[in-house]
Amino acid sequence: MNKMEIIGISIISCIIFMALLSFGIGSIIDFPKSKQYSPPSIQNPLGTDDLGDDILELLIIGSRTSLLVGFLGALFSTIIGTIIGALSGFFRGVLDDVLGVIIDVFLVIPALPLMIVLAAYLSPSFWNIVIVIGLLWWPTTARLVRARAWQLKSAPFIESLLALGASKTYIVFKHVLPNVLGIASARFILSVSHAILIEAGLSFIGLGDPTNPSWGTMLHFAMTRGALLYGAWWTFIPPGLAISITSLAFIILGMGLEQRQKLSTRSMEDII
Amino acid sequence: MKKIFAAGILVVLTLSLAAVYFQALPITNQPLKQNKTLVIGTINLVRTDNFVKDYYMGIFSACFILDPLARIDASGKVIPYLVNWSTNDSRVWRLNLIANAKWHDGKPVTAEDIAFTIMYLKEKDPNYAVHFQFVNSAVALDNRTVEVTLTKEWTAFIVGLAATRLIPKHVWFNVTDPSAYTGNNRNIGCGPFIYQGFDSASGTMTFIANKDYWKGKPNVDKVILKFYTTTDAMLMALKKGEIATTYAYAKGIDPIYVPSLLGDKNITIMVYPNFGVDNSLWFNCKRYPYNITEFRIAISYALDYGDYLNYIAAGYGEIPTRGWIPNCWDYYVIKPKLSKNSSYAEQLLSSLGFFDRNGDGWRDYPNGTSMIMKIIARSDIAESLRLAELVKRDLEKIGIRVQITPVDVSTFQTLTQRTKDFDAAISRTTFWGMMMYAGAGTLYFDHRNMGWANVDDPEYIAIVDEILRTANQTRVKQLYERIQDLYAERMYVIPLYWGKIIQPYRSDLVEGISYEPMYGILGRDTWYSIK
Amino acid sequence: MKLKNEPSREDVELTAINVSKIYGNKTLALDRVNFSIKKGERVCIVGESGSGKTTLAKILCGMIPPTSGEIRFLNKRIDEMSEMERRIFRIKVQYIPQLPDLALDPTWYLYDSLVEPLRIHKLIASKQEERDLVREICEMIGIRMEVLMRKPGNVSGGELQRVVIARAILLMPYILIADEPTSMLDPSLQAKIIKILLDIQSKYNMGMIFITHDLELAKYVSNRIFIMFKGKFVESGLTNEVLINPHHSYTKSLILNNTS
Ligand SMILES: Nc1ncnc2c1ncn2[C@@H]1O[C@H](COP(=O)(O)OP(=O)(O)O)[C@@H](O)[C@H]1O
Ligand SMILES: [Mg+2]
Repeated sequence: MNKMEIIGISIISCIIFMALLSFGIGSIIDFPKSKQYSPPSIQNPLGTDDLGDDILELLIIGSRTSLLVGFLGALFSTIIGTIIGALSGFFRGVLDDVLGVIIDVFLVIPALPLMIVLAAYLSPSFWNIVIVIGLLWWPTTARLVRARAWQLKSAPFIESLLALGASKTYIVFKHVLPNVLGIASARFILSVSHAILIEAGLSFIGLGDPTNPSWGTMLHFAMTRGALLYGAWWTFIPPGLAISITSLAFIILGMGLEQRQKLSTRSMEDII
Repeated sequence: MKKIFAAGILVVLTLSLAAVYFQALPITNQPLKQNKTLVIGTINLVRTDNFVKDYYMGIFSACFILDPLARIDASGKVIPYLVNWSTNDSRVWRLNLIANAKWHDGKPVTAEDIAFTIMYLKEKDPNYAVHFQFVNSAVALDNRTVEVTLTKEWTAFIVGLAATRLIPKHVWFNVTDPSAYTGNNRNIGCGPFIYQGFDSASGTMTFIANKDYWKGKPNVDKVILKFYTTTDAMLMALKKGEIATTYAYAKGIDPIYVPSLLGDKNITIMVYPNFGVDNSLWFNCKRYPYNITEFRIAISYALDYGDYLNYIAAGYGEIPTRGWIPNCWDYYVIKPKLSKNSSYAEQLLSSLGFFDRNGDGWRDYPNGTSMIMKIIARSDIAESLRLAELVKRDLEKIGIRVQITPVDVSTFQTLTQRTKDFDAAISRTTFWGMMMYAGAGTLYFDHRNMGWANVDDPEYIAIVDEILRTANQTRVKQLYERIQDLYAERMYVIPLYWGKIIQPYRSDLVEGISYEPMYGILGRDTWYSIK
Repeated sequence: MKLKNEPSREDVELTAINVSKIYGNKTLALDRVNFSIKKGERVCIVGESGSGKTTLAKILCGMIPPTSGEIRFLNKRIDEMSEMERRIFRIKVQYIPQLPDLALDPTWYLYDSLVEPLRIHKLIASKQEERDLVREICEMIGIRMEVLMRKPGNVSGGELQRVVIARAILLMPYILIADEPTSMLDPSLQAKIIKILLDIQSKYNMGMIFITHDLELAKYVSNRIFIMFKGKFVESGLTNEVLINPHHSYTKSLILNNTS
């Protein structure tokens, strides 16, 4: 394990621990309410928001949604990207031309504005956010996997399988996919960080699911219920930092994995 | 490395967001009083300056450019403005042009314009379909007299006159689709201000005082509207002195901002009664189980009204009484205040057969299937979502499972007004909405009209029909009192809190602002009282 | 060891007639090459790097098509074969690739890679039969069974090369093409691998094509030799004759370079 991976994994474990903790502490309903916008105190270590809810509890409960949306959105986009990339890179020909154009189109159109439009069109809900992230975040993964699949196509073991008469679908699923899994998992980790940021962004501008408390919705209500003017910094600094640190952790881990991926395939890339 | 850098920037940004607040707010105190320009901030965003197409352009043109036929005074009574009226049978009405008004292009205002406006708006503008729903014809008898014939007796016809924005026949007579009209004369009216222009890039709209206005020239030379996308930005501008006051149609500022303005010695906060009901829980009274009166009553005992007042209205308002109608109306009848009594609510629900039948902790329908109450709330109004959240918690405490569905404006309207596909909704009403149709909020209740509450209770319908045809004001008042009995006994809708209109302004920039229930501080009186 | 669908004939011959290969419209890798090998023969193709040896090998085993010319196996053009004939060609002509490190899927266990060709062609009936066959081959080639429980990244070059050879041998080919089978190995291993290949060749009476740029090796393993230069065979014949009495100047320089 390299240094980046260790840093990333330790931060992420803390946050996952936080999300697990949220199941233990139950729902925000079970907590006594305090005055709205109370500053940090012994009773409310991070103060309260406009409904008098404890920010610390919200932060812990919100980690669940933020992480879950992050993971599911990333998973969804990685699966789409990997399959499209592998098929496209391996089969080339018409399929690749078509998929290549689709990938390019998705890469060219600015994803964030499109996500905003899509999220606004679909009603705000947990699954819609996951779907929006999944549908629009796959092209980068697809492009990387496609390049790798293309390289693999001229690797000796694939050539010999072709000479043996193995079917192409067999080769794609049994050999190409397992071989792009490394790069796909590095992309997956990076996508989690993007998905967390996107969820936060969409929730912040009010396109998230307001009934599922997340760090993004905390920011949203801080901004729309006057916390800034009130000077209630404790309502937006903690979720803001939580979002930044979490996505940073996933980026660091993802980069660590990507580096390892590069090292292990150096020989292949150099020769082919 | 680039990504780490980007994420690092993110952390810095978050921190600097905090710093923004702590930075001192410089006050650029322009003596606006001297050059007689009034700058007003608003979050009622205008997207295009066509008053038929754009809702808020309609509001602002009524405030500045177009004159109404009648007005509403501070107590909510309809009084003559451009016209006076008379009728013998509440079916045929004579409108008499009493003002010597001139259009902004110099042409005189005539009875022809009035007759044209009524028929044209009824046909072309969906907003007037309700106001003029019983109008059969409007004809100019001479230069100053119009005769309006209704299809039935309707005493509230004159309420529609207060909403009517008089438009010039010579501009509009051959425009078939007013919402698409882009002619340069599209904003000609006979009101106190002449439209100068809309700069969507800088978000400003300018009006110049009309020297020839029939009531005399307003006390300011120029009014500039500045549009803001958030209340935060608008109030920041108020603190800096970039705007003299704020405006929101039928609404003040969200009360939660009051504490942050109180410390500023230049900012004065006026508090006015709200003739609308700030926020209510609307049941779809035709849908099971919300059609059961006892069920609705049970729910009214589950809610913590004190919380709504504290956390949503920041204490600016009061706990409503069971009669729904706010206590500022002259026909208001004292009723008991709403209060929480969870054990009574639970007992009532259980006796109706709504108890947990499958052991999951949630109450079920008497037939054993599990119950979930879906509350729709406007996704673009933060208070509305927060209120829904509090209501949800209160109901979940007595075992009713609740799901909040956030919806945008148009979905909200579709669900509540057209398809009626909802269990319950959270929304407020406006002064104007309370006046319309038979008054006393009937517009929002009667299933034959806009009817969010979807009420088809024959007793209620009978009262509405009687109000519609009764001219005798004493009798109408009796009926309004009776309708409050029904509101209290049958609980079609639960008022959650009665808020106040909170209107801040900078006393160093403007003084003498007047207030009226319909257009708030942008009523006609302000232009002559302001200093 | 006997596999199903073996044609019971001894007159097996793999022939290349006038084969040319042009990569991407510009690189002429092979220029009208004629070549043939019979069952039981040991043939060497010698040439410097980039002369087209691998290209010819790949064309011979049907991995890539020639730009012009034809390949015949059992007297049939391989591009005109029926499905059935093609299957036999694919099984009976095997190629051991030049680079052992990506010769097998890095994500697969060696055991699975080893038996994969058998599974693809459904050549064995049961798991038991499969295991027995593997054990037999491994004993012959000198692969410890526990090596097969690892992935390519965790075994030495020599072990990997043995598995690659075993994989080709498992199919009992008539013709085996070994493309520089020892170039990545250290000298002590080289000798072992060559010995294994020669043992197998004689045991099963295969036709074997050695591709190498090492003249000493060529002398040791083959009875016929082809000298390749810039996509052409500049000289061919019995190994001893060609190496003792070279005609072409390129062959002469090769011999000079090799001895020095
Ligand atoms: N896939 C390919 N695409 C284009 N050119 C190739 C390809 N494979 C080999 N070549 C070129 O063909 C020539 C012969 O290569 P190769 O058959 O690998 O030679 P050798 O095996 O003798 O080293 C070289 O110039 C090489 O660069
Ligand atoms: Mg080669």
